[in-house]
Amino acid sequence: MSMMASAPSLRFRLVFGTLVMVTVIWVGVTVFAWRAAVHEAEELFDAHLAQTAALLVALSGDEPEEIAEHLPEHRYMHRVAFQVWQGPVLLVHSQGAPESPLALQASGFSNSPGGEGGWRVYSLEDAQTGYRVHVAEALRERGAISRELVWHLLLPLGIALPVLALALIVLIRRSLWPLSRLADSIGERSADCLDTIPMVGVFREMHPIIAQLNRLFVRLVHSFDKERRFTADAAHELRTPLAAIRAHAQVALAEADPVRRNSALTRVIEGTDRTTHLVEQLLTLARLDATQMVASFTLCDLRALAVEVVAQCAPAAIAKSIDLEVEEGGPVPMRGDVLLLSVLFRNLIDNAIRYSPPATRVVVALRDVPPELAVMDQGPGIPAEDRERVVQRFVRLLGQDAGGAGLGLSIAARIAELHGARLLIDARPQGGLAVRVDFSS
Amino acid sequence: MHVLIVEDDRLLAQAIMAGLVQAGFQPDWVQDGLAAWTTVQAEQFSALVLDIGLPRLSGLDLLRRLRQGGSTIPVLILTARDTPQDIIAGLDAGADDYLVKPFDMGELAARLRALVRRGAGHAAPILKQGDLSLDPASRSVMRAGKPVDLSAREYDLLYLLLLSAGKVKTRAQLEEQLYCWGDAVESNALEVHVHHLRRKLGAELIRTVRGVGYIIPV
Repeated sequence: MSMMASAPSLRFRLVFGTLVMVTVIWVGVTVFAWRAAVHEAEELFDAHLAQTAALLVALSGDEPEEIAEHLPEHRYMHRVAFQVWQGPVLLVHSQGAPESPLALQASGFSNSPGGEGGWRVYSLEDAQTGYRVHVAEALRERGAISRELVWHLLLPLGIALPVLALALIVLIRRSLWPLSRLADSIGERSADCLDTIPMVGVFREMHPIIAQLNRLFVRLVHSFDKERRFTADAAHELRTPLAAIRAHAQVALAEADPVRRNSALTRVIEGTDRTTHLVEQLLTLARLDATQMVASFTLCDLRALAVEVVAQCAPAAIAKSIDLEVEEGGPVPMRGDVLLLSVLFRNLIDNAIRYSPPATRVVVALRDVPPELAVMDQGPGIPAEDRERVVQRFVRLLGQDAGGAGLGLSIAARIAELHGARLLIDARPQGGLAVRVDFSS
Repeated sequence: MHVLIVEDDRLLAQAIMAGLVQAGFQPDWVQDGLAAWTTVQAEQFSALVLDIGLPRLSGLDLLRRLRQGGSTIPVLILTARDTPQDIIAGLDAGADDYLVKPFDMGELAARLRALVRRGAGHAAPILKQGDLSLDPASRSVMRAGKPVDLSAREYDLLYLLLLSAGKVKTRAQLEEQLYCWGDAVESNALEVHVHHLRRKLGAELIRTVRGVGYIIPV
């Protein structure tokens, strides 16, 4: 649960991301619009000032003192001040206007200090009458207008954002509903239910996830089946040597003749050894099955490895008068797991010795590019139709009753597989069997 | 009782052989289904102990072949497969009994005795003929309430003849069911055993059918 709490939320990300994006774009648009509006307003105000000045000049022709009475009333009106000068004499001025000239220049626009925050002034001089008119507007008032504009522009955003957020949350929640439904349907499954999820009524975007899940389910079913079969096979395989041990022990108990009793007891030991060997092989296979990638790959020399294994197997070969040899050649470098490769080689060489008649040859040959190891014997071989089957677990062929459990080649094939190699079983043209490990891939 | 063991595991086959010899059987052993098929074609056995997982021809296939060919030989399946489906498949393929490994040697012998008895049409465990009675479980023979001392071969011969009392057993049938492979059998061995049985149990018990074999008349 704590993991889920700290995990990023798709819903939060969508809502938050959309809102941030909308805000940024909206503010950008607002700034642009505000600047344009402020500019336009200033033009308008300036035009207004100029117009007022012209009006004042026209009005002040005869009675400048009465001008104030003619001026129109507007809510923005109080922000406007004016002076009418004749030479150095201030003839008339509005309420808010100072006693000193509002501008130094005689005509045109100017900004001047004074008042609160300065003035925007338009000056106009009438050549006929000699009146100089200054019409001024407080800059602070202009600022207030532009602030009001900003407010008017931003206010809708303030209302729209929460509404948008709410709408997004509802929409996203509804859109993600199939995901939570999928999660629920998987969560409600019992542990052994590995049925595939039907693809009907599902959003297209979810198809890849469901397809992958279904693929995973199929793989799991396959591997569970394989495991179950292996366990059943293993239990089955253990029963026969156990039955033999029990039967021999019973025979020994009932036997009065010491020679026959000892022979039965010797077989009890033989059966125990065989069971032990079988259990060890099962453990090896179980460990190999659990391995997907071998982490302990190092660069090794296949020839050195083969020589080592042949040295270990030599006593068994000598005991059967089998001529065991490694063909001469240079090193065969390859990346692999030294221990597993030794097990692989030993299984192949052991098999060759075990199934070869006495006084024959077993040759181990290596090739470097691409790497390959071959174990060739002069034994009875394996019929073509059985060559694929013999690699399967617990498969023993007729008459091959040399104490094996039918796992040696399975283990060899599994180790080869882990090294990306293939196990090839062929008859030799001159008779006998050739088992090759092809590391070319 | 000549019994054929069909088992691919050498160690277990040796154990069954030794155990059945102790129980008074004459067991022989083949390692695969095809060898069992040819052997059963050629010879008479009192019973078959059959493993299912066999090379070349599976136990069940062999069993179906035997039953299709009309063979009535009692068959006991001895296997590591213990699911009800396996047992049902085995019995329905024509087996008479089913025993799961590991097993008790005494139980195997007792089941084989029962199979042989039933196969010959007897329900009672003790075979009786007049004042003569034979108990296969203890391999003992009584005449008029007194134990009779018989050699193993004499007992086996008497047992075979009593099992099929009222029917003629040919010399070949008797020899095949009395001896294992590799037993050194004198050509007149059967006559010698019959002679001894007549001496111990009375001359009238076993009749000779000249040129054919012997019978214990009912």
